[in-house]
Amino acid sequence: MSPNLRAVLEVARWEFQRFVKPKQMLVGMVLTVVIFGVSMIVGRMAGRDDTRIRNVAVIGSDVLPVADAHQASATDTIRLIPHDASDEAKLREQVRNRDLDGLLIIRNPDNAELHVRSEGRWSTQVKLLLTAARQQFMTERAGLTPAVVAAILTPPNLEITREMGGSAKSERLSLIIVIAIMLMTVFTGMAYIFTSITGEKQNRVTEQIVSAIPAQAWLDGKILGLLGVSIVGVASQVVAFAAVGLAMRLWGGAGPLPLPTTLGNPVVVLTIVIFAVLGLAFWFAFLGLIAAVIDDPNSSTRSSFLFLPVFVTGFAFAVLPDPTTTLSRVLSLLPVTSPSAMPARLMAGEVPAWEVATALLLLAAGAWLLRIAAGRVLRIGMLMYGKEPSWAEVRRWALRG
Amino acid sequence: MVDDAQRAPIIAIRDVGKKFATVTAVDGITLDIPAGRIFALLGPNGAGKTTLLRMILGLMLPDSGSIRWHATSHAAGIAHPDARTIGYLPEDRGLYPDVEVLRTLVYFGTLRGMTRAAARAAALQWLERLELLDRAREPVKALSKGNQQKVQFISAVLHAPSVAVLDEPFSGLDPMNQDLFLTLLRDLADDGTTVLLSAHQLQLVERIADELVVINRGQVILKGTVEEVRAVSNNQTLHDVYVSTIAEHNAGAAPVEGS
Repeated sequence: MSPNLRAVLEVARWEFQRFVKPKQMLVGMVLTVVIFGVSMIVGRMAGRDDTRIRNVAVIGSDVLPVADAHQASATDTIRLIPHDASDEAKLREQVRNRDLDGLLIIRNPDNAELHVRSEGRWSTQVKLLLTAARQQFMTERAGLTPAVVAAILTPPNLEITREMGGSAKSERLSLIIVIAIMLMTVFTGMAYIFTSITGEKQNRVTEQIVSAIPAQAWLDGKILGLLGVSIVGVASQVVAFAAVGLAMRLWGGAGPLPLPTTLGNPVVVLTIVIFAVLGLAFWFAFLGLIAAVIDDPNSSTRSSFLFLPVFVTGFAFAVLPDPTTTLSRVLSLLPVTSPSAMPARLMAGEVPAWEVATALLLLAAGAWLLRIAAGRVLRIGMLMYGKEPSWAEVRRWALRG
Repeated sequence: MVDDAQRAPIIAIRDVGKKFATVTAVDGITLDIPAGRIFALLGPNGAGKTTLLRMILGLMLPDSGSIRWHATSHAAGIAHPDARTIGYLPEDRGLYPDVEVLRTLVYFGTLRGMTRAAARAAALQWLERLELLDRAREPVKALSKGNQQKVQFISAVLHAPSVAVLDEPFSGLDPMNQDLFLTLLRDLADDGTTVLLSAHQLQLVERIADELVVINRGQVILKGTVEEVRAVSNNQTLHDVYVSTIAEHNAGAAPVEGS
């Protein structure tokens, strides 16, 4: 083994052991399970509590037939109580005193007001009732029978069959989960790289280390080690979230969420993993470069640059509505967005092989060049105390070393 | 004991210069660092000592001139130092405050090419020698400033380097520990290690250095053995010679050769 590779592995091991503390990780997982589980249970109970019947006074029920619409909708969470317009002041006072949940005033078929103390899910139901009542009113005014209107509004029956199996809902959810995991990993890595590099710079450990090994080996070791730390950290959290999510679905009788069929293909899974790892290496090199030119993390304005990868990685959400658009294809080719956008496209369906190969090549080349530039900047930047180099200096170091 | 071959220059510095923006930190320094001896760099704050040491270690590149490292045979010249044969104690203490003393030392040892087992064995030996064995499992931040300096020193010599570059090794040490360090440095030199140190404690340098140079404003203004340097001013103390030489140089006098 070459001395450089040995140094890289030593640094990686050191960083991994410095930040991965099994006991703390286990506590974190338990906390996640407890907090996420409690919030899910509370959310479900809050939903059940929302079924309480709401008393809503109605002024102007003769303008629109809301009572008929209410009867037709069979909504049993709202009780509509007709009143005269002369009661408005008294009713508004009752809303303020919580004696009534709401007051609906229908001024004319096109305008209505809903007075509430605080909005809830039921106010949406009031809006739906009002819409149904208005449709009924307009239908009658046009001389159409309800049967004709129903025939006009009924959409044709379209049956969608996915030849490759799977469901659109699970696919979409899986895409969101993959992008979210990528975001979490980049975010976690950002924290570790930042702490690791600026901390060592402040503790003056840097001189000691770069006198022993090349700055490039040090950076490579850090990227490798902290990549491992981030992946282990995020994986532990994902396991905790997945356990709670699965438990909640089974409790609700829904069963486990079916995975997209594309994930049954080992080549696709391997490609996704390669994109994710290369993408993280790309962003970790960028973060290393930025951290190396920060003198004091408490006062440097450059700290905000560390959030850049998180924002850019989030661009992959643009792929969600339709992975086949030009925007989706461009995002999946650019090295800054491909680590999250290409996996999303691969999960959503087939992607031409040349696009995957090009994206992979660009990402690998980008990560390699960024790593070299970051190593050069790190070598010089880490020895600068008390002042931050200008961006012109950083550019010069990155290009020429 | 050291033989004549080891006393030959191990580092040859030729007309080295370094500027930071408009400030000249090192201005055309030429020096030979002899092998197996204790060589002291003296000079006021900001004289250019640390910059010179960083360039010798390859942490910085000189703007002009050259620094060449030589193997002990003196035959094979190498342009860059082999990190495994060098130990470095930086001026600013560089340790991980939250990490255990022993783990820190083993890590630094492995970065200098040692196996983990060898680094651990050597670290335990040094900790025992410096009376820190019972603190091996404590985090560095739990140690006093002087004891942290001992840990820093161990990290510089753990791998038995052929050259130990020590920037302010006596910083933060009480008189007892200063004496201990003097003994350690002499033992290293007797075992053939070249010790290159920079310090402000002139009375300690006077007791330990085989040769010294005084640097002021990036230039060598005085060099020689302690005896030669003291002879320049009728056997005054090193402190007196140092103060008067720097004052004269600041007033515009030419550099002085001790030998």
